[in-house]
Amino acid sequence: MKKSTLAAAAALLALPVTATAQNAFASGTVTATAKI
Amino acid sequence: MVTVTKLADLDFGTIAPGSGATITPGTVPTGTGQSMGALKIDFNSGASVAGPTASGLSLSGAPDLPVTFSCGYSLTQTGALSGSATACSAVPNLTYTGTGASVTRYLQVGGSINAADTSNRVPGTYTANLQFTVTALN
Repeated sequence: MKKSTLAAAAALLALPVTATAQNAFASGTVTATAKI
Repeated sequence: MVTVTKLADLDFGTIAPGSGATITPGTVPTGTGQSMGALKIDFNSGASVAGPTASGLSLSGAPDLPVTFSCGYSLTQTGALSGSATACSAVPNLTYTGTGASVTRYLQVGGSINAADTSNRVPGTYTANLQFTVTALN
């Protein structure tokens, strides 16, 4: 195997595996009213 | 997963100058034109709720009308609270003990206006938008 191929494979193995969990969110708005 | 649905707005009705008004979470309001605010929250994991820090209602050209907002969770839109009412800016997290199925809680929104704050006030309709953001906790 060529050195360059080995280097590329090694670089791939070194890549960190990142899993990102997104928090689900939702919002709601209540309108408050008072008449004076 | 969380979803939030607004079911009702908070309305203190018409307040005579020199009178106060209180809408208490967990208690159905009885005054004319009064209604308690309510949000329906569906969730299938623990969730945090960020409430507003508003402390008054606004009318263009007039000083704000002070209001102490209070909130509480219930199993129904207008029923008794599960726990006690708190400031809307400090509602506790929603806990989840299920195994994945969505459950529902209702956030009731009330408040109190002091009689002293309605005297000598510019007449009109004072309003505020109270935004609540619910975030699922992984």
